[in-house]
Amino acid sequence: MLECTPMRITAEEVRITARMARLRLEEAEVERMTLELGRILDYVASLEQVDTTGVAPLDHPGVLTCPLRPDEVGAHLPQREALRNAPLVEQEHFAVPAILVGLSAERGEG
Amino acid sequence: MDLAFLSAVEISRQVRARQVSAVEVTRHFLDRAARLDARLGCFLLLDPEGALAQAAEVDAACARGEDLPLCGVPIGIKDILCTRGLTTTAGSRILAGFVPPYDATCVERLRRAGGVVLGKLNLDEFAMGSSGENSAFGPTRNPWDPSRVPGGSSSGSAAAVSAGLCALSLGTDTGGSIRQPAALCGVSGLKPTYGRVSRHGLIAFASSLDQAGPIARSAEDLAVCLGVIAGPDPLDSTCLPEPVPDYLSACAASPAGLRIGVPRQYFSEGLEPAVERCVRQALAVLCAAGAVAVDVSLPLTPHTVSTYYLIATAEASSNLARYDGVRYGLRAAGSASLTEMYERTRAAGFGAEVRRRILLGTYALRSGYYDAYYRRASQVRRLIRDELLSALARCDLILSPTTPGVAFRLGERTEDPLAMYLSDIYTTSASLAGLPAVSIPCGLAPPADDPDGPLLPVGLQLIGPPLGESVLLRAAAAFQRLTDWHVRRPPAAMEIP
Repeated sequence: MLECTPMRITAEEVRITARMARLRLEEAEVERMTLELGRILDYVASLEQVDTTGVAPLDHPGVLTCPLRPDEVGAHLPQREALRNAPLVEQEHFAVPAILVGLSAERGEG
Repeated sequence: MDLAFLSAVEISRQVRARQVSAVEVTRHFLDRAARLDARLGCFLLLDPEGALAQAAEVDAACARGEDLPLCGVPIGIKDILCTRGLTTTAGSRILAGFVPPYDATCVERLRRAGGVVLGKLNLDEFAMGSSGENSAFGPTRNPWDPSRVPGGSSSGSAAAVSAGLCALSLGTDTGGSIRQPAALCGVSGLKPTYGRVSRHGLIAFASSLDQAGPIARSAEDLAVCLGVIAGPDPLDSTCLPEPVPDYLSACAASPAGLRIGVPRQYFSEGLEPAVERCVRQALAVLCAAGAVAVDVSLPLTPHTVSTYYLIATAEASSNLARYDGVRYGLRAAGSASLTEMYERTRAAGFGAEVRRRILLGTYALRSGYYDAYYRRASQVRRLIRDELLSALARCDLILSPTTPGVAFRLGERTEDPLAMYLSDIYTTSASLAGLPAVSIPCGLAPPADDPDGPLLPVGLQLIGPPLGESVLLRAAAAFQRLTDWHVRRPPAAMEIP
């Protein structure tokens, strides 16, 4: 008899994760990602075998203290330079579509 | 005189001595890249104008008697390091048209040392890949056999040095991205200790793992380049404050008395026999010169790939949140709302592997899954680091293969992400622990599935203690004085003189 492995991740979980990551996925890609992520999650499940009782997580291999420096005025990126790579600029600001749905794009009045 | 395969040290010496001008050297390499690179795909961008202007400045500095360590040395930069005024893509469509307003600190230091930046080198998108095939701008090919991959993610950086298109390059290494392509292309590559080299201007993939480092054709060239780019930087608070030693003089020391740890778990299932033979011969060469082999044990080895991919993707999912179509790069047109613009921009801009990793990382950090995935991986990371440090308490460095096999064919692993990840088995542990590691060529072997096939480079990995770059370079340079694997040239470079 074939052994039945429980699905590590469902298509619905992939859709929810994609929404959280602000990634629009086509239905065909949801299917493929469900399969591929399922296989990867199956593989990494081997970490369950490691005894981690009482082990503090290591989030960073290096610096444990925050170095300090004198607070001095220095050169900074001029605004024009900072805006040069922007896809859309209006009145020396980054321009984006309306943020509040239902309001007009005109500076969110009302 | 064949400039293309001179070492960086030798080019610098000749330019300083005014035997050849930096402008002549730069022209030679630009010309070579223009003729050869159509077949290899190493460069995403060549900057003849900028490079020649910079070379002229170097010649002027030489005329004034300035003593520059990389005088007129032609250098290629992985296109994930920002270059002022020079388009930087990270191999991704999402950064289309991005022109950085500043140089990465390591790039700026190379320029100040007299290095001449020829252009930007191809890579897996956002440094995510082990084959170079994930670039949005087409794959790079291995100069030893153009039907095979050069490794990744610093694919162009390794292939360009191997083919003599530049004397030196910068790569970046998150889980093996300098060492693995260096191994598959038959060149030398060094991942420094985490924090040894500034990350300012390095487009972030996984911030607790990313390090920039040199790829070259000898340990001495690695030493000179590292000496230039290493050291504290006020623009990166994770950069280590320790003074930078003289790495070049470390290269001159004898290997006698070095204790070389040999982890038995690295010489087991999955390692191609021909690769194992080359690595064991390399160990024998070092031992014949007075080094001593010490048996060490790293029982967590089977868990390093899992640990690495959970941590690296979690950090990537957070770092790549910045690509939203607002401040730079691509923006999908015609979106009615901000959320729609984010979603459509990111879907259009990121390639399949990057999307896969963002999803995996987001999932591993999600409430309800965080403890089982990200937190557990971070705990195992501490155990892996402790295990490596206790092994290194019994020896001066650890010796292993860099990869389980030689270069594989283009397309061979693209349909199987997990198989691709598993080729990182020997490189991810040093990354997780923040340790320095170098890969140097140690032999040629045919592919396991084609015993009569082409002979391809095999890489030897040496892992050192924190800030132990000197001991790695000492062993690597000694090995290169005793063998000639590092001066072998790939057939693709021989065809066009």
